Amino acid sequence: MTMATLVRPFALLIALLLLAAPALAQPPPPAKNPFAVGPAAEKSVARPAAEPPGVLQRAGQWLLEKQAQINRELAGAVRRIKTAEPLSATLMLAALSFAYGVLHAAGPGHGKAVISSYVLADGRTMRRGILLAFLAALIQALSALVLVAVLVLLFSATGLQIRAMEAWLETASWGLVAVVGAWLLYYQLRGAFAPARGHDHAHHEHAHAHHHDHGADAREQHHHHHHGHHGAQDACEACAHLPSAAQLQGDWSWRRALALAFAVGVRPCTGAILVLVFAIGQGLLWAGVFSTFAMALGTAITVSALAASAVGFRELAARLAGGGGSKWADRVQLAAGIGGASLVLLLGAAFFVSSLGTARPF
Amino acid sequence: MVNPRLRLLSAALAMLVVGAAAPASAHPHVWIVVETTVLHEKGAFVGLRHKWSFDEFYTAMAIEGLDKNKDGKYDREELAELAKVNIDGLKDFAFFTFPSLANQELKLGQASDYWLEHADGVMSLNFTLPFASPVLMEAKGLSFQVYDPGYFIAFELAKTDPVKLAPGTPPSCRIGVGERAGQGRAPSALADSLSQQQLGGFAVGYGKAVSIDCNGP
Repeated sequence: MTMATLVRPFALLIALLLLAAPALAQPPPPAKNPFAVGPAAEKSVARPAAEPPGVLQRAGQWLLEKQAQINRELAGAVRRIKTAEPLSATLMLAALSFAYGVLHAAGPGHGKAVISSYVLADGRTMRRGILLAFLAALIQALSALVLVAVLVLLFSATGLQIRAMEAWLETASWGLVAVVGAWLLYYQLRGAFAPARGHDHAHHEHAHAHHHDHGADAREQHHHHHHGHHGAQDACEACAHLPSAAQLQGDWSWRRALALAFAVGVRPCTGAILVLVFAIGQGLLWAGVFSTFAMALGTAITVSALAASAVGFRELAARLAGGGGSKWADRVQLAAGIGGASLVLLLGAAFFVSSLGTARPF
Repeated sequence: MVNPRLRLLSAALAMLVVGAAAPASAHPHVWIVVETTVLHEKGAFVGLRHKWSFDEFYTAMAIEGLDKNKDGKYDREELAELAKVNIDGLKDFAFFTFPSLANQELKLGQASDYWLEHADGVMSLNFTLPFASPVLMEAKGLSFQVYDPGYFIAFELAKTDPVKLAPGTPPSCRIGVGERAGQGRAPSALADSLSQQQLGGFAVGYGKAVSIDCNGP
């Protein structure tokens, strides 16, 4: 009772904020503009009534401006390695690349949505979400590195050829994301619709034990449960379980996670490709490689934060719904599972199709 | 005992958080500084002459492998093929140029006189973009915007004199640069609309509206 009274206003506030987000992100009001030439022109532009700029909009604007600024400074930082004191120039490059990674990943892309949806769906722990984010970022960096090394250094390919290959990898990546999403969804639905006869008791016990033993090595712990579960339920070997059941923690969940990291990561980070090609042009390949990994670290941190908050919200929701074992907690878990898996599938499919569309001119 | 409605709310919340964090794949990887000259002929505006300068990273990428005679320079001939590819590609995106007359969309003709130049690590694309039909100078409310609805490309107007009137334009004509969002076409694909949702129409994404007015104050 007390918890509910404490929590309700908070939950409502968040819900209101989320609902208000589209309104906050409305087109910008006419700002005082520094480039106007004549008073006549000022008058001639019809303008909608001014609205105060939303918080999200200003944050987004700030992100975009910072990115543009860092993008410009990054080029200078690579060049300075040749002229200025190498150590300080290299540190500067590392810092800028890292910042670029952090900010850049805060914008759309980089598998952030996909990974967040995944951890929501597959009942993942925060640790798993973070690991996944880092793995995907690492694969993305390596993918960019291999692409540039092979095409530029071995084949002296043109920029157009590099971009064509990048586009191909992007399509492949989204296709793979959709496939993993479908796999996840199938798994969730199988769990949801399979008969759960006489299952509930054991299942709840498990969820409870798991909750408490969380600090231990997750994988071993899960294995342990797995066995225990089967020991108790021998007659039910073939039964599917609800998503929060022990089965979920089996090796297949790792396979799904790795498949997803690969699916997301196979698409090289465009920012990394650009820095690498630029660095090669300056005769500083190593600076490009260095910058690529610093960028990946920054990206991984942002994506981790989002994946972790998705897990946090799921756990909060489950706790509000009565904690591990309650019927409502299961429903929250199930909704998160099916919803998250559907999102992975939808995002993968939508961007797969859009990546097949008209090639972009630049 | 926790209120069931609260439970439903919290389930919905978890979904909403992911929904809000969701979109999308578009974010700028190419920065372009726009300089435009407004062209006129016989008392009417007939089109725009763009000079788009790319950022250093995109430039490095674009010219990679194109120095065919290995003299360390990228001259017009070496970049001619790329210029053609760019212009052909731009057709599918309405040249990212959205002119309007009194808030009515204005059609564009085919781009002509295009070439790429490269100097000091910056590549620029030059091309002429005619209006499908000339616009009388007396007409009110001529304006245009340069932006990418999908926001893969960040267009920004040059810091000084981004838009000029071609020589011989009557002195009563003035250029105004202001911010006005969402004048262009609607987002074409789901991905576009996802990224638009994410960006929510930031001024940087939409670019500034440029207006041309010859009717005096």
